[in-house]
Amino acid sequence: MRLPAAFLPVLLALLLPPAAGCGAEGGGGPGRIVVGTEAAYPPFEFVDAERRIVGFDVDLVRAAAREAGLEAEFVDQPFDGLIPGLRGGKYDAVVSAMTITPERAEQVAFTEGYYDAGQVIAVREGTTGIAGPADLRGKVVAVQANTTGHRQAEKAGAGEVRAFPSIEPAFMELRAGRADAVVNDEPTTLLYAREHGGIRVVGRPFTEEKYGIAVRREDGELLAKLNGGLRKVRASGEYDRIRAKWIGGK
Amino acid sequence: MPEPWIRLTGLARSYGAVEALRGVSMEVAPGEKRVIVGPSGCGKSTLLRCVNLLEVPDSGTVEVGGVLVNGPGAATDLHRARTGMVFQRFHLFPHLTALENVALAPRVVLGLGEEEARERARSMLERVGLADRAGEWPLRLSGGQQQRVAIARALAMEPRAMLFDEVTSALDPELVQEVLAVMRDLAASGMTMMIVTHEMRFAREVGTILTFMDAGRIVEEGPPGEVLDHPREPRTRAFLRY
Amino acid sequence: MGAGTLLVLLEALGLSLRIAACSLAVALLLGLLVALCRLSPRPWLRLPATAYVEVVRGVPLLVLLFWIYFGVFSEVLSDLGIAIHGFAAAVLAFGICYSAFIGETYRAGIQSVDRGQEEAARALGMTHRQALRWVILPQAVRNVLPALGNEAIALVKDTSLASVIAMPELMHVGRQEAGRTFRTMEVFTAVALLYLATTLVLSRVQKRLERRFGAGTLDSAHRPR
Repeated sequence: MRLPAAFLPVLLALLLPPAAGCGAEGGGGPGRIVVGTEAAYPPFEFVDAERRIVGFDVDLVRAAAREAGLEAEFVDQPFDGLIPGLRGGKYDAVVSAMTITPERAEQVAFTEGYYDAGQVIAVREGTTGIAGPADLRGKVVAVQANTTGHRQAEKAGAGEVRAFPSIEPAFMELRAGRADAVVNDEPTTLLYAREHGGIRVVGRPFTEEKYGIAVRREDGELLAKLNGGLRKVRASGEYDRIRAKWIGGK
Repeated sequence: MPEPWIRLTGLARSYGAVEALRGVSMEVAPGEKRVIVGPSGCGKSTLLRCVNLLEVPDSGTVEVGGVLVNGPGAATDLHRARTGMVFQRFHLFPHLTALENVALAPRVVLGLGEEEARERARSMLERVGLADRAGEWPLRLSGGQQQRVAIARALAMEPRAMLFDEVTSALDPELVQEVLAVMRDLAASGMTMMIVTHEMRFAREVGTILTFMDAGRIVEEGPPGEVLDHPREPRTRAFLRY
Repeated sequence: MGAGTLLVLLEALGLSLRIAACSLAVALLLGLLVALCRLSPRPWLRLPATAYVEVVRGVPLLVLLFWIYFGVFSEVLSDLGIAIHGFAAAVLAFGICYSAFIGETYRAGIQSVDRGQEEAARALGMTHRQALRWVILPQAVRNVLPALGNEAIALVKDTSLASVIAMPELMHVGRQEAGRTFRTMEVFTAVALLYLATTLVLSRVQKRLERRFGAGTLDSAHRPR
């Protein structure tokens, strides 16, 4: 099924909420960029008590943009809608603990990886017999829809994959005993396990993946600026300070 | 003098400050045609509705067939099933055909089988001259036809008495006669009837006793010809002169 | 968008429709009970029913869904050794939510029936219950069929909320397929067309029912034969 091309911008405008405080073209104006994120994924991005979008990703992108002479402004948007929104011009960049995958890289351009993440398996305390992805075969696995964890759970041959719109209910499903495991990024999973009892992370991350900042493929200039900014932030030690603040030591 | 079929004693009924009935007593013998007339608001409809307990009297007793029907534990539904009532505004069931209107209560109240109930309904419709309109919806019938279906519906319960509450008042003048004709036939068959009406000629022709009511009380009663031609009470005279 | 995606969407539509159908059945039955209680002269029936309607109408469906699937309710059940399945939770949540609205619709329908109808039925010796069953309710339902049709259509679309408990219903699967294939517009448009097709079918069903139940109304009485 294909739509006449003329309809697409109209439909897109109807389907996606406009980015706060910026024009239809999405550009943040000179010196300003609008960044889309799903602010429900601590410690990378979440909403704090003052209703501000905060987290590791937010501080990092702010710092990198500043190095490049830009000011970053964040809008909250469900994870599913981030790439379509970016491509539709609703914002200039996306940072959302988003793993660089070949499929995504066909749609958008990624900066260099800014964080080495991996998928881990979380189970309820007392669960035995799940030590790695091979043990997920035939099990009920809760995930966040369309994340790398979702893809890994499918790849591992889970008996049933329960995909939730955000990660929190996936952990609730695990705690309620209706799922045997959760597959998700390590830092968030560790944080959740620490905050809520009854859940334990099994073993080490079983994938190697990197988070990247996404921009539109045709936005080579912005991509270069962000890459340059990221390098400077790493070199200055700012990166380590941000990481220590949100995630803890290496 | 046979035992009365309906015996009302000291019936009173108020709506807030309005006293619709102020102690009415009446006896209706089996086969009697009691006609009740009076100005609007005199309590004649309330009286009729008290007989089958659509209105519950505040005080007084209603006895039918020698049984007290308005006391505690009285079998009100059974009593109503044996006392037919026809209303001014027909109140046919609009979602049912004429035949189904008549067959419904025999089926659900008397427990007749589907076919038996329809058979009875058909013969009742025949009795009121509407056999050919059995499959019709009420709203496609004229007012006179609807009222005849309503009479057939009441008769299908094989009642021991029938109550008629101004059954021709909502009809166009040319439709009144067909309903009165059905009632005349019914009277001739020996049915015990209580009839609230404004049709004085009909009252005179069919009634055995005529009761004139005013302000919630019986003013006078007697053979219709006597009351209508030689009213004793000034209020009756005033009413009949209009 | 490939045929594979379409098949996946159709399967998801099947689940959406099963949820909607079961929820509607629950809501129609529960709603009737609620309406009858609300119209009862007995305060111990009327007051709880009124409170039920007020509370349920005021609680967001999403919260109701979470309460039933994750909340106290599911904990009580799991203590009893019953794990509440997503499907059951969705049917319960939608059924309860819509029973409050449908109950009010029924109530309006019952109250719209002329009082003379009940009197005529009682005068024939019917009990209150028989009068309701055979005389009042058939007319009440007929009067509110258009409103019930609206509720049913709204319910079909509200089933998309079941995504929060990971039910692979149409909207949720549509989002997943869009995320997987990056063909958001095509997939979402397909999803919209599937919902549209469903509601069009429902409209037809509603019209049919209206015609069947509408026999004997003024409209049909004036229609030439």
